[in-house]
Amino acid sequence: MLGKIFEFLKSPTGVLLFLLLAFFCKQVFYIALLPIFDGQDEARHYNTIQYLLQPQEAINENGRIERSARSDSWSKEDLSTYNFSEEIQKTAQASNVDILRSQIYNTVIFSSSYDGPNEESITAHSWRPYNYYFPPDIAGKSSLYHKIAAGIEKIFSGKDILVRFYLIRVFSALLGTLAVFLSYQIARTSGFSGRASLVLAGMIAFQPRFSEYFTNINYDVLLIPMFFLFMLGGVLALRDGLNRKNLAILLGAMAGAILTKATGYILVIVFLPLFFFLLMKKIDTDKKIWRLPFFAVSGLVIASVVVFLYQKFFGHSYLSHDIVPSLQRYLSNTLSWSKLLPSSTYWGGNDWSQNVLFERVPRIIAAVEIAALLGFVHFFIARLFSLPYPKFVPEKKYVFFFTIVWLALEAGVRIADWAAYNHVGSMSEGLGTPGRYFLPALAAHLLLIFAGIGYLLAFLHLGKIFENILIAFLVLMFAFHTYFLFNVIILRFYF
Amino acid sequence: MLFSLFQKLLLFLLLGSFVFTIFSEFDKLIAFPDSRIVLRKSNSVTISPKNPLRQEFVATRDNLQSLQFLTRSSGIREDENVHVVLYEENCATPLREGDLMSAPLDSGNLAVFHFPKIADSQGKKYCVALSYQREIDGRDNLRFFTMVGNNESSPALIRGGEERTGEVLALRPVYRNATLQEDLVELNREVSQYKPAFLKHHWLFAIASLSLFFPFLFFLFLLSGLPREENAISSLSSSTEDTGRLPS
Repeated sequence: MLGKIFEFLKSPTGVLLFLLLAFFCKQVFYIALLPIFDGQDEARHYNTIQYLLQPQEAINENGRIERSARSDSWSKEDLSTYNFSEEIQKTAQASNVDILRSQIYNTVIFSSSYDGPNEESITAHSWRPYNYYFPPDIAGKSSLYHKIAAGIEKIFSGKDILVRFYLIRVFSALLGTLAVFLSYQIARTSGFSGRASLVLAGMIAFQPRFSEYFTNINYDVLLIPMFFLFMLGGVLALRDGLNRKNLAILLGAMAGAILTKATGYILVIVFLPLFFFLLMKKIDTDKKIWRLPFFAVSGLVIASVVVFLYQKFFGHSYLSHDIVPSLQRYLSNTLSWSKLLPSSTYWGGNDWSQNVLFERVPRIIAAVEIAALLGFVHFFIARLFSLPYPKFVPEKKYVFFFTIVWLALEAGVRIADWAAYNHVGSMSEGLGTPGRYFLPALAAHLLLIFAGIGYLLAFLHLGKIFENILIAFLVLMFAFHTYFLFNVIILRFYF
Repeated sequence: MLFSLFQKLLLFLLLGSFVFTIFSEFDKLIAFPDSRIVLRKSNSVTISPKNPLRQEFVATRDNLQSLQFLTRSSGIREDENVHVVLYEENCATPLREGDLMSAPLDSGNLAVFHFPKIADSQGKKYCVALSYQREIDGRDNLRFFTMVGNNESSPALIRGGEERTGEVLALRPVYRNATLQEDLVELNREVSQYKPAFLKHHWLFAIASLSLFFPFLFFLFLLSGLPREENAISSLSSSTEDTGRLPS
């Protein structure tokens, strides 16, 4: 019996189980470390959840207070001046978290017990979770994520805000665990060995920015697993062909992503060429009579969808005129050599966490990416001469698919930024492409790096140490994450 | 591609050395600022080579281990130095001395004076003296934020021998505990505040322990050897040799 258990624990499934447990537990620990409302736009997303549950009759005309979102009394650092629910405003004041937004040199005021100085007033549950101020400061009304989280909020509505808020954060940790599991499945299905797939899932589990995001209340924590699920559907379809199961995964993930955040529309752009490619393989396109109509119809459909999406998001128009001069202006304002390197915010850096490590780590990662790129260069040259393919990296169709996913997100985010730049006319606050926007393609990004390193090692006749190299990278990522958690996050909020 | 014993040891050694380094650093970083003292950015005072600063304060706990100051100038540059001496109450007997350093994270110009902890500091009055040196030409002074003294009995700030009534340096004493275990208990207490019951105290300790235990198991089993497997690629690519290299 014990032997069987040990055998199971040594199997890829057993090791994956340890990884998922490790990820979930450290995420819950991380969640506990972060003070309430400290995540990215977290108070706004939590307010959205509360607003969805607010009964129409809760605030009558007399009780409603009209106040613009950025009124004279508004202060960026003071959550009680935002058009949030009474419960959020009062909790922010009582828990003293505003001090963390405005006075980075102070900590909150602690008591000498396990309860904060004003915790009793928060757990008394006497403030109403209603938005008296109108219009409410919310992040849309229709995101699938907010609707699911509102379900959790409703189930535990009898509990105080600390229970409800932190349970929704734990839900984010569960979604992150799902994303790590999916990343393992993507790597495994695309052809990496069990160990290499575990390493990839581990790299994602310990990527500092990914970890930080999956402690937050934010719709991206549903968007990212949806992207990963789409990728899994894609690699399954590439491996097994187009069947009902794979199509259901692809369509379900795409619908889930679109219902969560507009970024999900990027998957439509990836799905259509993939769908037509798989359809072409399924039907007999060897017959010349089919080819022309097939390509014409697929080209027409793809072009129509692209035009439709362009009109939907940019048609009003920030991109419809002066495209070339506007693009030149945008690129001259945003493109620099430093922008070509991986952003430190993508790997976990914050405004306040800039130190020697966060300056150096992105440079080390850039060196690894350049090595991977060299591997790709060699790979393409080798393909020209029809040289055989190294066995330990995925086939080219998977690599091509990951590249498309990664490029589509890169292009989508940058086009949206370009449109915003045109609208505003300058690179002012609120614009830009912070690293977190690119997290949905993290699995594709890391798989491409792994594949590139594989090609390079194959070229150097060092294929046998491929997994050792990957594990060394994983150890470095784990160390970086552990450093970040203990020597940056704890330091920031408690020391 | 099973690992040799040497490779496994090497990877474990790499992992162990990182973990050791990180937690050694964490041990050095542990500090509990007196959170009842909220630093404020109001007025400022200039320190220059001719005008050192002196401020008295009272420690409220044992194991005083550092002092935090809020500078108005953008940090302490490489070509300048603020030397700090911590005296006993009489401002005559020096206890600790060293240089003021910028805080490890960007903390809005927080500067820290670290020193070996003073075990029996509770209730004692101390005097801290700051002097400024400039190595090369450049700005010849540095500014510190000051706050309004809490009451009339607040020890006044002295600049170059001149008392600035009602004004105190934006200064906060920082403490540790007698043992690392006590430090971790205090950290647990602080993290537990404004958290639901399932993230407090014993639960927090349990989840913190598990968040270290499971990664350890993950690495242990990942490195101790998954069973040999045929690479999944092999069934897809019959034309390739299992050498992991491209023929020349």
